[in-house]
Amino acid sequence: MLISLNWLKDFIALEGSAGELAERLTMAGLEVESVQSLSEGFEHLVVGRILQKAPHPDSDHLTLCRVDVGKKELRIICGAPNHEQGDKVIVALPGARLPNGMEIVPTTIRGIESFGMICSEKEMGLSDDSTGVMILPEDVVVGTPAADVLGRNDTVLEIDLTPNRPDCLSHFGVAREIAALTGFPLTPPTVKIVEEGPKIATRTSVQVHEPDLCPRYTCRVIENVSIGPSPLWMQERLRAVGLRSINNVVDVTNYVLMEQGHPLHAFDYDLLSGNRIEVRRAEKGEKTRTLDDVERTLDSGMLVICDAEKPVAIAGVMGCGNSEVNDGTRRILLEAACFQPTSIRRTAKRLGLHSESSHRFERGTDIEGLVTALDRAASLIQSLAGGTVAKGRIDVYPVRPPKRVIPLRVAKVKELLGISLSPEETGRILGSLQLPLEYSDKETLQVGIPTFRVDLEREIDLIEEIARIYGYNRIPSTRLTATLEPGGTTRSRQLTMQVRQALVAEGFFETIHYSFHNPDDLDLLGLEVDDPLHDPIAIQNPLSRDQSVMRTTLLPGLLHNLQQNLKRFRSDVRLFEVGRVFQKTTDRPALERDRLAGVVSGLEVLPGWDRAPREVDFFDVKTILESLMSGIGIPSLRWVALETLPYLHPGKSAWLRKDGTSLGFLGELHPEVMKRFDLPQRALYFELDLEATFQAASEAVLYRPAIRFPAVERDIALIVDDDLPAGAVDSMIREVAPDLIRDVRLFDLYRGKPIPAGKKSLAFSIRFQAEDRTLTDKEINGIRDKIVEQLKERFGAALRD
Amino acid sequence: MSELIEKLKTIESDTEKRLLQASTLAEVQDCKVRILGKKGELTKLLAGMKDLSPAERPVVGKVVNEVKQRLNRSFERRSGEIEHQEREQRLREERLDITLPGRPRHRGALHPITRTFQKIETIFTGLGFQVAEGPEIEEDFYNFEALNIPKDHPARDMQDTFYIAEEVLLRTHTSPVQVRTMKKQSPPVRIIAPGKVYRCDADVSHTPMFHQVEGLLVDRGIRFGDLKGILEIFLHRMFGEDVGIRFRPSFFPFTEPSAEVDIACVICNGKGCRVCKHSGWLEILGAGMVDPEVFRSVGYDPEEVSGFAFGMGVERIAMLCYRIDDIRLFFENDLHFLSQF
Repeated sequence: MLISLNWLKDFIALEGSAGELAERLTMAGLEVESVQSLSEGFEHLVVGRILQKAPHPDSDHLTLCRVDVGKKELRIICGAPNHEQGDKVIVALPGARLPNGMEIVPTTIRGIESFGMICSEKEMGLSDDSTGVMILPEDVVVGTPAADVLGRNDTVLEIDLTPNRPDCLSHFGVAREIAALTGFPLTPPTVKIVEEGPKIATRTSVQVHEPDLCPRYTCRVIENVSIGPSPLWMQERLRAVGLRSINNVVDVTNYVLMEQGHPLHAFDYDLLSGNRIEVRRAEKGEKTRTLDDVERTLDSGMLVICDAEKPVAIAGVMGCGNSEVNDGTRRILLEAACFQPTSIRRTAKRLGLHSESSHRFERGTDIEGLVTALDRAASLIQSLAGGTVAKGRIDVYPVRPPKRVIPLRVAKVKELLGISLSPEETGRILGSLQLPLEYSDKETLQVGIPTFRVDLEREIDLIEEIARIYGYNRIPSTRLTATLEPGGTTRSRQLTMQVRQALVAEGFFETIHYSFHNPDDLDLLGLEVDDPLHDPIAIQNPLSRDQSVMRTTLLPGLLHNLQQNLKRFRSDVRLFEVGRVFQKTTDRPALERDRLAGVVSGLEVLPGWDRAPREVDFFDVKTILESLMSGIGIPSLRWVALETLPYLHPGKSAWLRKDGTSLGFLGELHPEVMKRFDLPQRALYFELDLEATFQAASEAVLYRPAIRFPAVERDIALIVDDDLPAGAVDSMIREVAPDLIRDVRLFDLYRGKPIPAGKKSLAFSIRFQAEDRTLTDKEINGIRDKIVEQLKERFGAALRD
Repeated sequence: MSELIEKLKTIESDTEKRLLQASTLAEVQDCKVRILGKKGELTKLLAGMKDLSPAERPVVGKVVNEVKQRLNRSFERRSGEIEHQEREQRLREERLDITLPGRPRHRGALHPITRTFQKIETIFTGLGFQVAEGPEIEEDFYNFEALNIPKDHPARDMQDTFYIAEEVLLRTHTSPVQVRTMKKQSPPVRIIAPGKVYRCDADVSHTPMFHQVEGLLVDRGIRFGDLKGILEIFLHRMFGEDVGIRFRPSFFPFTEPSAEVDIACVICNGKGCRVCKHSGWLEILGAGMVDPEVFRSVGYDPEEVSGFAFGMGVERIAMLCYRIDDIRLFFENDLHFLSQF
């Protein structure tokens, strides 16, 4: 909300600079976002009068003007079509720097020198109007600084008001707040109405069918008004707070809105069928065209202001075009009403129509103060547009709300704020806010609540007011004394951090992607339509299709990222992300799982001065994952060939299992997916389900003493079928003597001559050791023979010589 | 006899000369064998001792022993010298060009948001707060209703919400974790809730997803001053012991009194700059005393307990710590960006 300091000064004296005022308001909870001086750019702009206007000899549209700017006369060349001899205009003198940045210097235009510029509203940043120069009223004095004439000697505060303070949504409201802070007296606006017209009852009537939604409706009728432009001072004040001038009557309603904070509406009385008002619910499907020229379809939850036949306004939101004040309007009906906040909010929301009016009604307005607003507007209209005000007001106010009093316990103030205030001091603070003490005893103050403070409903609201005015920064900080309880993080967060660190040590960069993505990505992954991952949770109101479904996998984010980074001339990329994936479920809003995923592409061994580079492959990442797992207490994993994930290479991917539970998977990306994601080089992807992984993880470590008896290593080389997994041979060997075989290590894999086609040679080094004795050669040979025999039997393996 | 002694002397001086010429350990050894070995010159000479008279023998014997001892010492000395030379030589030869680069390895880093989370969590867990988490797809009740933000309340405009269904949404703050925790647990409560939150808003200073840490402390007799105290400890740890702090009134539906907490601008030290919009202050936290309505909605008695809550944007803090000027960088994940942390 924009607040003009000049306007504030109508109601309260201001001392100190605008910056100091801004600081003071900010520290009282009315956060000032910016302080802007309106005179900026108006230095060297003065009022001038065109003494003579002649065509430029070398142009068919430029004119040569002799302009009186007070102390001297200037020749100015002007290209506008609308100025005439005798007009008063704004002249930018040489040295001026206009709000739009244009600098004025003497210049030669088609051979003739020009010493300034006659300005349009657009050039001065006043409006978008550039159809001609701005013509001023006759009564302004030549040579006066333009800033004075245009009301630019003003400063505007932009206040970011919190939704609980609708009482400050106006100049008078802010002035009232300043009065509370400074103790300066508040001057109410002048209201002077001469009621010379007939009794209002002879002119109109109001019927409110929904008193719950419209607890009060008041109006006045003014006849014989002349519609025309508002005076400059009003136009400038409206402009200062961001409103466009329309005509004197509409401007007054806006002016009073900005001044008093109460929305008003002026109807053309003669366009109201039956010249009367009914307030009722709209009929379902009823249509009307609002002032912004949009046809609105209403429903029965919406309140409408009607004449004898049709809606003429959507209550509290916007008027309709059918009864708009126009140049020919002679009589007006001026409305000031109070509407139920929730109803207005629903209506405005459903129509997608947020107006200055709905903004205030949905936050709550002053049901008593609206009369002041109505009368203030009537008095302004009378003075600006003439007219005869009918005697009295219509005031439909069936149930006057009871006077509100909130008890405030002195002890509670101390309990919550930690400060001891005397009842007198408390009373003084509340008094500054116009909150009178109705009656009180030592323990409890009974605080009266004026109708403009709709936000004060409970004791705690009063305690906040006391803290606010006393000053948050005067309340002493205290160090808590509390029973010590251990703080700390969760096991899963701790393990997640450990896993992150492990990947960072392996050269991975952590990434964070949005939790939502484009549903098309799921097709790019090649997921079948009936795959649960292909059925993401959709956002009803996404910002774009790219961010419209909740991710079911971390893969698309990482792949797009990999692609982006590879494109930016990075050839070695290692990324991971820890994040949540979401799936539909029946008993909860969503099934959420925390996952860890990573992509690796490019070199494993980076080139150096003494070694050759090598591209990363499956086994490099397998090592990384095994060491990561071992770091969190999962020393052994089972790797099981995986052929079912459509985005992975079916021959180069595997599940990671522990005790029959899948913890995740690793694999090279399917060439088809690489193509679809525009990836120029091979990449590996892995994903771990963190819940399953951490369930398998164990922090327990049990020390085992070193074995005192010697270990013996024996190598065996076998020829087996080429498609026999080495892992199967490995586990077979261990099974033969689990107590005596400490380790089995594959140290050679060979295909080719002299090994027959379709076969391969595997060479293992086996480490034997007993806990309680030195193994004899005989024993070891016995086990070795048994191994060979069983491998032969199970896998048809032959010993290689 | 004197002839024998002369010979001994000659052998000794010849050997000393030869030793000086020896340049390897093998040559020294060779020399030693030639003199003292079984067939060595000295050994041979000693064989002639048997021809001496018993009176001469001890005299010559003594000289022989002396020569032997001296020679042995010489051999040892020379060996030592040569060993030393050889070692020096080897060390010289093994010298590296230590300016050659180390072998390049992949270097990784945590995301700046994770680093910032870590810092924040460490401070609060050290103060006895327990970390709590909750779902990101949340029910309207936990995200709004229970936090005193009823439907059709203008306060809902403060947070533009992504909806999944009528009563289901992407949480707009981590505050629902407060409610979930209090519904499960009776006071005292001391938690922080870190996590992702979502609002439909996107520009230079807003992304539709960002991160928050929310804190909640509930016990008997908790006062506004306690809130100030805890937040001052936090902000001093985070931004330096002498950073200026101020509290100013604000509004959140779930706290009352509510406060915004500012720190003196860390960019310009409070003098006024673009980042602090020339105010000298930076908004860093929202906070307040838990609203009695929130206590009622979770079944706590606001006459029995009181407490405070606070919340902060992690991106905002990271941006100030690392001087990052565009929030979107956090989610673009460009390696140029990530590799700077």
